[in-house]
Amino acid sequence: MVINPLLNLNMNKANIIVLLFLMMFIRPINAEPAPHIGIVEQSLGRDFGIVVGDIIEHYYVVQVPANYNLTPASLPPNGDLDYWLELLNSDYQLISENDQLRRYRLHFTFQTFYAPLDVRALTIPSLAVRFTADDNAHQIAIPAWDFTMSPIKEIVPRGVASDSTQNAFMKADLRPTTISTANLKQQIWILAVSLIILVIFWLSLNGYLFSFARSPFQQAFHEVKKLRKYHAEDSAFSQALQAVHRAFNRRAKQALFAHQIEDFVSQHPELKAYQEKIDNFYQLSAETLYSEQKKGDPTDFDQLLSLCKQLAGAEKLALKKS
Amino acid sequence: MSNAATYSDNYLSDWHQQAVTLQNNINQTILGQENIIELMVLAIFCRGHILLEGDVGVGKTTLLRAAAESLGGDFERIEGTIDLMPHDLVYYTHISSDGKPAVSEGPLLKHGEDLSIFFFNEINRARPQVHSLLLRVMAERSVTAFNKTFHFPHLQVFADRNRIEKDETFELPAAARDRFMMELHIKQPKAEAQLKELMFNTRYYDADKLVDSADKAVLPFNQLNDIATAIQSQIHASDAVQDYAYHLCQALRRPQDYNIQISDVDSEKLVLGGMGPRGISYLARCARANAWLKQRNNVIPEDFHAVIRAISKHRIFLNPVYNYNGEAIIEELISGVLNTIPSP
Repeated sequence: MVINPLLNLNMNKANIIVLLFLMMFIRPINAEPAPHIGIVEQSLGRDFGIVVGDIIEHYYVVQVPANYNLTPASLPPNGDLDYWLELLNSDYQLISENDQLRRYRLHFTFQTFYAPLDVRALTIPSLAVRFTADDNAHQIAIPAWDFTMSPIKEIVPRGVASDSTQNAFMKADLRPTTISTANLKQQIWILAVSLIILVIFWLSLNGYLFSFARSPFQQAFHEVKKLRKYHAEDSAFSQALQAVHRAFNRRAKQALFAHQIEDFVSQHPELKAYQEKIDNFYQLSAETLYSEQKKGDPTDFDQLLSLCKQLAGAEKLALKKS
Repeated sequence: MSNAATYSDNYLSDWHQQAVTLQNNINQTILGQENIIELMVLAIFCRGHILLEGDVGVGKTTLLRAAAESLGGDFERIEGTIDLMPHDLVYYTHISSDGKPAVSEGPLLKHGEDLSIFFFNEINRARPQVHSLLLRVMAERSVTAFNKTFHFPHLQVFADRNRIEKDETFELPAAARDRFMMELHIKQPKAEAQLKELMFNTRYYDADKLVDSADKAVLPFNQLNDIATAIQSQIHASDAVQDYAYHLCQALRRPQDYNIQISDVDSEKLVLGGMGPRGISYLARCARANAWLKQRNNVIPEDFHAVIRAISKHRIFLNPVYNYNGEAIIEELISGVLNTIPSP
């Protein structure tokens, strides 16, 4: 095979150029990169939408050679940095260390008192922190921080109704659907009405209905009337007497005894006409309850019923006249 | 047990007449103290001791002397003083007629079983040691001296004290006060006519003559124990009235349970104690005696009303917070109880 010598020479040149080009990207395999000295991490928060009075907190993690210590006095002192900016606090913490490096976390807390009328760009100036190792010193600069401050303004655009459903500033996308409670309401109503009717029925059965408005003697009348049915029982007449005594006590607003009847009728003149009958009742009561010499018969029940009816009638008449 | 068989039908009514005589006799001597005298008569027929309290010069001593003279029996009187000691009541030493030292029985012992009234004037001037002796005499009607026990079956102690002076006096212990069936607060009459009578009627100028002018020993004093027993056994207290009396006593001890309200007073913390078994027993006894004096055979609630103040007032002990106004509060408490507890 015959090869053109000129062509062979050209191919060698091209190989050398490619080889040189490739050599540009070749580096020693075992060579380690030099550790970075300075800020390795930072957390600065949002740099917009800051309004007057907001607290701004900046965190930095800085890395220095292991023999360097942070000089606390190099941290900026608390106080005004500008007429609108105050450094509230600055502190540091050693968070890790090994043979070669140390990492410090720096924390700066600022508060801005700038009150812009429109959105305004501002800058927190750069700060410097100093590290020392024997006679050597190294200074790390905390870079200036640019941010924008916003004015505090109404969020509802002027001229847009806020109370009209048609022109409301914020409207629901869809009308919410509600669970129907009509059936439940109906059931509750039926239950409540039934319950009220039952309570009224029970009160009327037991004679409590309108008892507050009824004369105590009228109440006693009903009680004695019920007890009359059991007049054969020993305790029935005692209970009937007690019912009438309770009526007197209620009307007198205290326990009323025989010797107080005179005062009682003078305070309730409508009952004055019945004083003798009241005295007789107290005597009958004493004979039955205290002497235990008398047992009630239907006539005695009738006497009590008559007294209660008369006294209730007298009270009703007095009420009408007044 | 039927006590009815023990006493004749007229026994109680005969004695009732004598009780009225006694009451009238004392009323003739002492003016304007009808209610106090009635309570004293009740205590006499319940064989209870009486403590009179009141202002100076209202006639406490005269009243007790008149009651003692009317009752008859042997009567002994002693004045409470700060240097009085228990042995002064029991014996005294002296030089006998033959010139030798002698020990004789003192005022308490010398009358033996015939001692009817032991009148202790100004009791709060005596020391607690004397009160202590008195506790036993009142509770047991006996005292031990000269190595033997002396009994006084008919003894009734009448005592008085004035409530004005507190200097050089000794407050009676609660136990001693509890042994008095009644503590009666004697006040001067309010009626104008009675006050004029006391001012200008010469009959009342000399207390000794006044007491002497009344009939003496209108009762057979040595039969009082029997009639007292008869009254208690013959006068009936029904279940209804027993219930009523029980609730009265309970309400006096625990007013909060009966919703008894007194203005500016916390009912829960008002009463510390009072109306113990002796007190409630005295109340029932006096209620029976009152029923008898009113010529009834059974007790009614009004009998308790008549005596409850005299018997319960000195037995109710209030929380010290309320002591500043204690008397008024106790009075209000009793009224509240009477107005609240229904009967039947």
